[in-house]
Amino acid sequence: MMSSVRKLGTMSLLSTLIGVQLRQLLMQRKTKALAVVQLMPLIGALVYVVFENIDGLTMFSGVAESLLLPFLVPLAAIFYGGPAVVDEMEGRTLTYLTLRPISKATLFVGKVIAGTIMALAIVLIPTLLLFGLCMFQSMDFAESLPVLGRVLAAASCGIIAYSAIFAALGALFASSLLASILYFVAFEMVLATLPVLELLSIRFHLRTIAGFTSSDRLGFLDRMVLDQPLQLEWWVSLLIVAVLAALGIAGGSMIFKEKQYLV
Amino acid sequence: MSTTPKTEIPKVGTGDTVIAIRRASLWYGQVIGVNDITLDIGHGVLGLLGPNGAGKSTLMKLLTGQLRPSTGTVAVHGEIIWNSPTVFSRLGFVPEQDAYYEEMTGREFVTYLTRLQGFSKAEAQERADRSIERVDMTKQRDRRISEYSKGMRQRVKIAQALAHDPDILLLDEPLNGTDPIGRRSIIDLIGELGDAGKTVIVSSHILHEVEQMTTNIVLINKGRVVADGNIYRIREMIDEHAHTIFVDASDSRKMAALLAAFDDVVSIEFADEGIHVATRSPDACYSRIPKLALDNGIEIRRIASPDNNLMAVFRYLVK
Repeated sequence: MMSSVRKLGTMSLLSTLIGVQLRQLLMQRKTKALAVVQLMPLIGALVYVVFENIDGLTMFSGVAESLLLPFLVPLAAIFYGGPAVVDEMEGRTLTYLTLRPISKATLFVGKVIAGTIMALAIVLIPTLLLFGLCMFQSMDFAESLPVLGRVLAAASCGIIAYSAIFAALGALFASSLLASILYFVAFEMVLATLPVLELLSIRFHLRTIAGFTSSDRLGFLDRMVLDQPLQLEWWVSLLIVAVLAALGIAGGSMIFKEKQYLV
Repeated sequence: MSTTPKTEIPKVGTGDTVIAIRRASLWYGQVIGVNDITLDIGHGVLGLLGPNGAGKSTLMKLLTGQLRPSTGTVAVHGEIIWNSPTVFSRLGFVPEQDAYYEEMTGREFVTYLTRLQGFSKAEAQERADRSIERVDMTKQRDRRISEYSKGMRQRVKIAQALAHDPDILLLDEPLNGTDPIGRRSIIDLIGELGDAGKTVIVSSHILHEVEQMTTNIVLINKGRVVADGNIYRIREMIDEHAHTIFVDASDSRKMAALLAAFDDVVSIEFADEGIHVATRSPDACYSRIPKLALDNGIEIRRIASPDNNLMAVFRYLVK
C-alpha cells in the first residue's frame, strides 16, 4: 500500500491536466488531419526545389505571408483553441473535470495551454521543415535566419492569441466552430482590410511582427483617411497581440467560472 | 406535505449534517427544476426517488456544484459548493449521462481522473486498479471504453467516483443498464459504503432498487420534496390516505361483506387469492380483521400490506 500524499496545489494539478490533455490531443484523428494540411506547403515547396526555379528565401517568405499567417495559424487555433472546453461540453465529459479539486478558471487555462502547445507544435514543425527545404535551395542560411525568427515569432503570437480568443468564444457560446469562424470573417477578413479598424485584427499585427510590408492591403482605402498605409513598430504589435491574448484568457476564465453549462 | 413542521429543518441520515440545502430553487428560464428545497443530509445511504423529470438530476447537479441555485444555498461540510473546488477532493459523483473518453481504456480513464484528485501517477494507477476491482472490472480494465457494454460503462463510471475514497458519494441512476448480477454487486457496494459511514446519495426512479439499498428516502416530484425520512415514518404520514391491506381468507366473500360495513373502508377488490381492502384507518382495520374472522368462523391464511413497499408510498405521495 502506497502512502496517500495528495498534491492539491494549483500548479501540480495544472501540470497533470496539461500533460494528460497533450497526450489525448496527440492521439486524436483531427491532429493527424491537421498535420497533413500543415505539411501541404512543404510538399508544394518540394516541387519548386526539384525544378530549381525560385529563390529559397523568397519562397519561404511568400508562403509565410500568404498562407501561414493568414490561414494555417488561425486554422490550428480553430482546431485546438476553440474546442478546448467545448469538446468536453459536447462530449458531456465536462462533469468529470469540474468535479475535481481544481478551479474552473485553472481548468480553462490548462485546457487552453494544452491546445496551444499542440497547435504550436503542429504549425511550427512544418514551418521549420519548410525553412530547411528552402535553405537547401538557396544555401543562404545566415541571411535567412532573422526572417525565420520573425516568422516563427509571428506564428507563435498568432497561435497564442487566436487560441485564447477562440477558447473564450467557445466558453461564451458553448460552441466553438461557428463563433470562431464568425470572428475570423468579421475581424480577420473584413476589419483587416479597413483603414485604422485593421488595428483590431490580429492578422495586421502578425504581419508587422513578421516584418512584412503592407503591399497586399487595400491601399486606396488607407489613402482615403491616411497619407500612407498604417505601419506600427513590431514591438507595439507584439504588445497588442499579447494584450488580446491576455484578454482572451482572462475573459474566457471568468466566463467559464461563472457560466452554468447544462451537460 | 412534509414529515416535519415548516419551522424545523428536515433531516435524513445519521450523525452530523454533511450537506445542508436551504430554500434552494433553480429555474431553467420559465421552467422550475428544483422548487424551494430545504433539507439536511447526514451519513448513510439516502435514496432520492422520483419519476422521470421530477428534478432528481437537477438536484444532484446542485448538490455537486455543477449548477448554482437561482435562490437559496447548498453547502457541503459548511462550505457553499458552487465554485468551491476544494470540496471535490472529498466528493465522488456518478453522473447520469453515458459520457466517457471513449478512446481511453477503463484503467486510463479512472487513472486520469484520479490523478486530477492530486495523486501521483503511480498512486493514481494503484487506486484505479483497486477501484476497478471493487466494481468487478479487472479483466476488462485494459479494453477501450468504446468496446464496453452498457453495464461495463456504468461500472467504470462508478470506479472513477470511488478511486479517491471520498466521504460523500452521489450516484445518479447508477443501476441503469446493469445486468442482474452487476446490479446486485452495485447494491451491495452501496450498502458497504453506507455502513462505512459515508454519505451516499442514490437517485433512482425505480423504487424497488432503492428499497434494497436503504430505508432513508427523499421523494421528489415536480422539483419539490414530497416526503423525506424513514420509510416507516413516511408511512405514518400517509395513513390519512387510503391504505391497502391484502387478506387471504377461507371465505373471501363473507369477509368482504363484514368489512364493507365499516366507514373507514373505502373499497374492496377481489383478487385471485384474496381481497384488497382499502382503508383510511389501517391500525383499526388490522386489529378488526382477526376479530371478525374469529367471530364468524373464517380462517385467515395471510394478511399482508402491499403498502409497506416504496411503490405504494410513492403512489400516494406523488398523486
